[in-house]
Amino acid sequence: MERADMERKTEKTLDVRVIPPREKHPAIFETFGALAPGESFVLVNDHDPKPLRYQFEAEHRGAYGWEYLEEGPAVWRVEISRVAA
Amino acid sequence: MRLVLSSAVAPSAPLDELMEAAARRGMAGVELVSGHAAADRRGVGADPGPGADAVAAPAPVMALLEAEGTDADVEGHDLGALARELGVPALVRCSVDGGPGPGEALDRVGEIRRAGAEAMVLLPTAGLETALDALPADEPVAWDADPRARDLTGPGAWLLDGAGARLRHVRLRGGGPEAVEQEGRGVGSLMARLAVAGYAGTVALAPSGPRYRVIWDAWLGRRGGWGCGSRSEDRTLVTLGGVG
Repeated sequence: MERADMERKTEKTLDVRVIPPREKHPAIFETFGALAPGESFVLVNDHDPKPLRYQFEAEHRGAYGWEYLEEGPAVWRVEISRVAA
Repeated sequence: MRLVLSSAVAPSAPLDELMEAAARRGMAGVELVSGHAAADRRGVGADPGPGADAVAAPAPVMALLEAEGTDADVEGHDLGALARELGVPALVRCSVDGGPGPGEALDRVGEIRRAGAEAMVLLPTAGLETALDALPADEPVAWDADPRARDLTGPGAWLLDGAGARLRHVRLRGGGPEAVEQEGRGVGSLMARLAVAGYAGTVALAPSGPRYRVIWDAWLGRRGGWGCGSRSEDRTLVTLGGVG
């Protein structure tokens, strides 16, 4: 998928590469918490955010969507959605 | 939200190397500061040269920021001409405590627009509210977000509420390799608010000061630096050991 297509797919983007390490997950969950059912945002990171997915699985199982849009080597983009009820 | 790299991270780096460094870090483009080597007209539009194809497409220039403390008359003319040449918005500095105020900055923005380039005022963090209130309600703006000056949580929320879609560019100081030192200063909260607001502008990664040059050089894969004294001993420089 081209970058332009990714940006058209969702208007919300959270780039956590500039965020201090201990503030990354709170910022991500703050963004997720502000989503309406069916909405999504694109998370941009400089590594595969596997630990984050474990946290989503532990705390929001069945309520979130997770789709890799880009997998390195410099940037990982994951579309995280709030599953419609 | 598109992350770009400011030439302030390496003022001596030529444009092609800055673009290559930004692309290697997966950034969408670069912000040039006039007076830096990358903003030298001779480098603008030049062939990226051998080796540039080793990375993804070079990151394009997205914005042009005027140099700090230069002669406003000369700088305004040059800034407008270069912005027009690059096809990017010019960012005009503004201060509420000693430098050119909002009115003066707005005059220069008008001058640059008359010269055929897009331009906007770069709002300071200290005095943000005063500066924004002094501008017309439909004026596009950029923000020089400095977590050392204030916790960014409040100002960020206030700016998004007050300026909303008028906010086009955020210059975030102290991210990247310095980010760990900005803990508790509202950077995470600001970025989350920008995301929730659907912010589609640019966020430029800039150093908090020249003391961090060594860290940035290493982060960008240039341990030898880009010259201009980077090899000389300077006891004020912060090294990689400082960020763990």
